[in-house]
Formats: sequence, C-alpha cells, structure tokens
Amino acid sequence: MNKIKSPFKDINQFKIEIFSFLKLHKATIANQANKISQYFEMSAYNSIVKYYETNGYKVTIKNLIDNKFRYKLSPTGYPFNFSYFEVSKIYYYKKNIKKYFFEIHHNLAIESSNNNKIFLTPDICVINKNSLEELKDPRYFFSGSRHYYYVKNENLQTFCEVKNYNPFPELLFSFIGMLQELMKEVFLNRISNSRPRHIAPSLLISGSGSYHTRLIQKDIMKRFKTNIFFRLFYYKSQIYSNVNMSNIQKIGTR
Amino acid sequence: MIKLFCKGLPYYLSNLLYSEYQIYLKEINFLVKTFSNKYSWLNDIDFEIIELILALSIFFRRIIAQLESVYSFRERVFPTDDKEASIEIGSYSFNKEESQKIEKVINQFWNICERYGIQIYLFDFSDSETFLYKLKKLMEEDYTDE
Repeated sequence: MNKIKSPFKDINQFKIEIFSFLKLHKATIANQANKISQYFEMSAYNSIVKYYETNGYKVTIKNLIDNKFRYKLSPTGYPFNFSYFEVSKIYYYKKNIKKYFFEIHHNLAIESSNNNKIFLTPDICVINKNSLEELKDPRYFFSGSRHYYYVKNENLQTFCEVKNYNPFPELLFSFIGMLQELMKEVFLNRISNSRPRHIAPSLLISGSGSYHTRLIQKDIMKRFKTNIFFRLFYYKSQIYSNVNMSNIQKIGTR
Repeated sequence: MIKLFCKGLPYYLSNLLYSEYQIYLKEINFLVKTFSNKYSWLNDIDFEIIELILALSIFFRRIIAQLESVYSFRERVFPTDDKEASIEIGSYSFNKEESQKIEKVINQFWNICERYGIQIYLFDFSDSETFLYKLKKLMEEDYTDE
C-alpha cells in the first residue's frame, strides 16, 4: 500500500497534483458548469427514492421517453412529458393482498390545503398513483395558450423542499409556511397512522449548520413531524441509510 | 489560490467560489490575528496550505459534490452499459459517455485526496473555526504518523 503523503510536508507536490488535475479536466468541468445548480436537486430526488427502497417499497421508473429519463427542471412543462418514479408496497392481510402505489415527482404543482384555488410547487412530492388533474380555468393558463396540471391536496402524501445553501434561520422558518399550506394536518399535529408510512415533510439542505441553525432545526422537528436534513453535500446517506432510519420522522398514508 | 480553481468556469460560478473563499479567508485572518495564542500552531505551517485546502473544500462542495450527484442519479436510473440511455436535463443529454467523463473527474479528485490523507470530513464545515479545528487534527495526525 502506498504511504500517505502529507499535504503539510509535500505541499509543492500536492499543488502540482491539484493543478494538473484541474488542467486535465478543465473542459469537462466547464462543460458541466451551467447545469451544476440542478444537480443537487437531482441528488435529493435520488435520495428520496432510495428512502422508499430502504423501507421495502418496489421502485419502478415510469415514462421513459425513447430510453431517456426526462428530468423536469421547472414547474412549467406538462408533467406527462417527463419521467418519474413509481413506488409500490404490498401488504398481506391473512388471505387478502393489499397493494399501494405512489408516484414520486419533481416540480409538480399541488393544491393548497387551505384554498383549492391556490397551487404551489414543492421540489419533490409523493402523490397517489394517477392523480394528475387538469385545471379548466383559462385565467390560470399562460396567455390562454397553455394548460395547467396539478394534483389535488388529498392525493399528496408528503413533500420535500430542497435548498442548495448553508442553512440560515429565515430559510428554516419559511419551511413551516410551506408545511402549513401543503399539509395542514401535519402542521396541526393531526397525523394519520395508516400503513404504509412515508417520510414526513422534509427540508433538504446542502450546507452545514451553525450552532444556532442546529437549535432551530431541532426545535422545528420537535414542534412538527418533519425532517430537516443538513450537510447533504457530505452525508447524502442520512436520508436513506438503515442506520439512520430510526431518526427519521415518518407519517402515515392519508 | 481560488482563481486557479475558477479558470474556465462561467462567471456566476467562479464568482460564487471566489466570494465564498474570500469570506472564509478574511475570517481566518481575523481569527489568527485576534486569537494569536489559540492559533499559534499556524505559525509552524506554510499559509499556502491553508489557502489550498480551503480552495479545495469550496471546489468540492460547489463542483465535485454536484458532479457526484448527477453521476449517481444516472447510475441509479440506468445501471446497465446502454450507451443511448440518458438523463435529459433540458436540452442537455447526460449519456454514458458523459457519465464516464464525470466518473473520471470524481475518481481522480478522490485519489489525490486519499493520497494526502484528506477525507470528506475535512470539507464539512460551515465556519472558519471548524475548518481550522479540522485542519489542526489533520496536521496532528500527519506528525504522529512519523
């Protein structure tokens, strides 16, 4: 085995290796640079799918178009033109078999739990299978030329918001607003316990928290059945690893 | 130091890397001046190494971590060697060829880090004090290994 070098003692060699690495991959990195901000959300999406896998769901990729996974970048765009994941779970009740199917989407509009004329788009949402609806009100269409697709609030099972930042207080508290708007019963602590269980509404943050933001994280998670994950740049597996599963808050199917 | 990492990147990204680096560097300089006793161990090392590891950490979180994300996403959706299968991100197609290029970047980055005993643990900090604390640990390990 090669002896580990020391960056402190072999600084010149360390510098040479880093700079030749940068020189060698300059073109590849520059080529990816414009898309890089999307990649963190992708990783979060992947982690949520893995969470369901760890919890015994079967995962299927749906709506591949010409063997391509079309990733929905923004809230605009018709959902049926994009790919998504379907998760299913089977329960055996003596002789009865009960199957549950859900879909994990990205950037899909959801009806508010307070007002059925208001919609908002969490980054990731888990919905009941085939629950996409079309809103037939031309006032919502962009210049009357586009359709508006959304999911009724009763069909939403859980949602996640992804932020590629270092956590700060206002960011953490704004998540409570989304929670109140999308899942009022979680906000009011009237949570269903029915199987199968889902990850509780979660805020996924890339950066590490300070002492203060960690206090806020703990406090929000104590007040509401939610998860706030920090440091996802470094520890993605905290969402889906078996080891951490007991620390993750879960909610029942609505 | 960070300028070398920013070469070839679009303005918004290089600016992000540059300003993040400058914020940490200013804080480090402030800490070193204000708490000279606590950070006296820094006198024994070349300040360039602090700059280099700081720049490397920021480069990791802004570039490498993101590339790892898209790479693992593609590997999950298309675990086979199908060259045509791709992830469509807007008009960009992330296919097997692109995935292999990214894999090379990620592997080489971690190979260098591994050769110098640098682990992901060192990159995980939100304030300069934590960064310096972890750097000190790395330095102590280096010198105990002798």
